[in-house]
Amino acid sequence: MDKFLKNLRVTSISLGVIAASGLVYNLILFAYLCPKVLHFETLDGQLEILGLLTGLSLALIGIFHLVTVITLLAQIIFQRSAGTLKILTIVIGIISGLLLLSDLSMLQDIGKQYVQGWDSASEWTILFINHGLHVLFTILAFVTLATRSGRENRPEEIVVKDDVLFIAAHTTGLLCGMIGLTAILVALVTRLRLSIFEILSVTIGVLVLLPYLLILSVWLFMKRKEKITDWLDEKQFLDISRASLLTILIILPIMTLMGVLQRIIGFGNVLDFIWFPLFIFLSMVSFSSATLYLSRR
Amino acid sequence: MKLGNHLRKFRFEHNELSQQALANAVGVTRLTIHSIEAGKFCPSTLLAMKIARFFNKTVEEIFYLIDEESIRS
Repeated sequence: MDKFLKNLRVTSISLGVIAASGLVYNLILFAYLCPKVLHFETLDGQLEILGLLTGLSLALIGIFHLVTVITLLAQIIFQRSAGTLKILTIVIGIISGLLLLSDLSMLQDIGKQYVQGWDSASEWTILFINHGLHVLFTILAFVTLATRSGRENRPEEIVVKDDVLFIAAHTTGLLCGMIGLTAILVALVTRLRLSIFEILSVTIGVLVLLPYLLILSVWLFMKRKEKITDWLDEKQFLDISRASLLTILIILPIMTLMGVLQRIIGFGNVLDFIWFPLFIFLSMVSFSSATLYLSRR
Repeated sequence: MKLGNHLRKFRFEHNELSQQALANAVGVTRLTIHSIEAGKFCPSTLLAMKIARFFNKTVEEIFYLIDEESIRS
């Protein structure tokens, strides 16, 4: 298994080098094309080839995302090493990987809008933000993959009741919740139109929840052969019970305040769209952070 | 009242047994054993008895009550 994991890590790093070149190519091409498209300047015939190369580099970046996330998940499961940086890389990797689909959609929209003579500034902005996230993931992936796990060459100690996935699941919950809350805050500060806010709150909500659901699925898969009563040991059970109580104590007053505000201000405003994601992300942050704090005491 | 213990001492007397090995033997996680040793988690009667049985001792030989008032005075 160690040899397989080592090969997987080397493959990820090699793919990362190619993907990084693809990212640089895309960014240079976008920086060259963006002003020309926005000013409706005539584009030369080589664009089709350049576009094809962009598609190819996006595919390579996608494969790099997939292989890296699988490598890091395999390290967590088989080597029982789950640092915060590794989990953050997985979370960003899943979000960034899914945004590759948004890149393709934005590129198609830009092409159509250029032909129709419509403005495509917002599509370019999304494309550059997405690429910023791809760059962030690539850097995080290189740092994480280059750092050898301290457990790699250590003699294997048999573990009957493992707490690595328990800790990993709650660290992911905390990170996803914080990303979700930050996204809500940014959306509020930038004062987006309600229609855009509605679409964004659903999209970001799904994107941010996916890594958490993935790690929970992995945890459930690992526990499938155990009895439900054996899934947690007595301290873990006590920790999540205390964390649940704390979560209720935090969420109830905040949600009550939101409800009162909605009654006072009236319906049809931004509160209609943020209360649910706020409820979900606040619950994740308070439950996961409290569990992590209590489990490490 | 607090619950003190001699877990660390017994582990070392037991061929320098690791926390993980003890955790495996009594069916809990390593962090639980760590928290018990640090006095931050009070084990259930069942777990205390499993630990005692593992070391072939009585529960009272491993765990003891700490009277906080007597510590203060």
